[in-house]
Amino acid sequence: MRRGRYAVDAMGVRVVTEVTGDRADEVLDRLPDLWDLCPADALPEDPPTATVEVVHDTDEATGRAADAAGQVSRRHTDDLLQVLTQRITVAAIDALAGRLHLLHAACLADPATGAAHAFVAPGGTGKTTLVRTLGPGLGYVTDETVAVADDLAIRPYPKPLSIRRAPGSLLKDETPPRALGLTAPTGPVTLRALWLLDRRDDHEGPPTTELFDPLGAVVALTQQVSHLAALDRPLRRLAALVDAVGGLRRVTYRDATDLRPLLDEGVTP
Amino acid sequence: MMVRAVPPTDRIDHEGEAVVLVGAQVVRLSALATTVLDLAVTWRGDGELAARLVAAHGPPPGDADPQSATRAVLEQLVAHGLLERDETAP
Repeated sequence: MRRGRYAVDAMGVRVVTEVTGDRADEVLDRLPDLWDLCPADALPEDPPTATVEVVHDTDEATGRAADAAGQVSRRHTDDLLQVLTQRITVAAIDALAGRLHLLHAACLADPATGAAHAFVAPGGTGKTTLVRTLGPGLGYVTDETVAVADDLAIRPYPKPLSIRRAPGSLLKDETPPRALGLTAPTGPVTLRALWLLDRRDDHEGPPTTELFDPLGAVVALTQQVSHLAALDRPLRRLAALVDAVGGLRRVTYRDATDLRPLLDEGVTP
Repeated sequence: MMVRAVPPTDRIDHEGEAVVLVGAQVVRLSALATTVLDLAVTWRGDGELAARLVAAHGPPPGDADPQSATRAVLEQLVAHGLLERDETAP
């Protein structure tokens, strides 16, 4: 039985992946490249911590038992790595419950100032595509979860991206951000604008935007927030966050590349 | 029907309307429902609430009876856990 561990910085949480099994090296060899932009050695002292257990073994019964016990195990390494990313995200989110706003959103930052645009959206509705399309040249903050404090400070989470193996495929592969031309922000990141993504195949022309009323903004965001009720006075704090960035806007568009002007207005130098 | 507001976990207000958090549920309230919660800080009867709602928001649309319309609103707010009902009242 081989054993190893690998730690990453996930939104300021030190998440340690512990890998066992006779195929452990197949996982451990891939993690440094995939999680290159989330080095745990840059974390401050005594960060919140979480552990994810992985079993990768040629014996399928061992894998099934691990899966039943809540550990991560898949026959194929690529499938396992995708599930592992999800579990690392969940572990970090759970560790941050009650401490920060946790928005289901993609986020890109101005490389010079750290001013960031967050694009809120449910899974499978355009966040990763947006990051792949518009991210090169900007600071890649996350394609999954924006952890933001009341003072608008964001804890980056430039995780591996899950890319479909083929158009329409249910299967995805974990991809190192650098392989897509993405780099992490180099300084502090601050939330500057909040968008709600509304991608539609039948949308024609440039993107259209619509400002939510203050209550509608909070209602819309609460549907894409993790651990809302764990925060003290969450509605008032979310309303203050929205107000501080000038409101929440719905942006309706077809192709992610059409969103570049939104970023050019405020993110790029 | 006697009701009293159940304090939500959190609440925000804007231009007479409100959004409340009850347990893990977020509910957006109309101006009418917001008025009900503000009035029902102590036990109130549906007749009294109906009169106050008519005074604040006008009569219900159509020929609806104000007290019946008020009861329908109260039932919804009870179902969402925003009002409690005095089961001993007639």
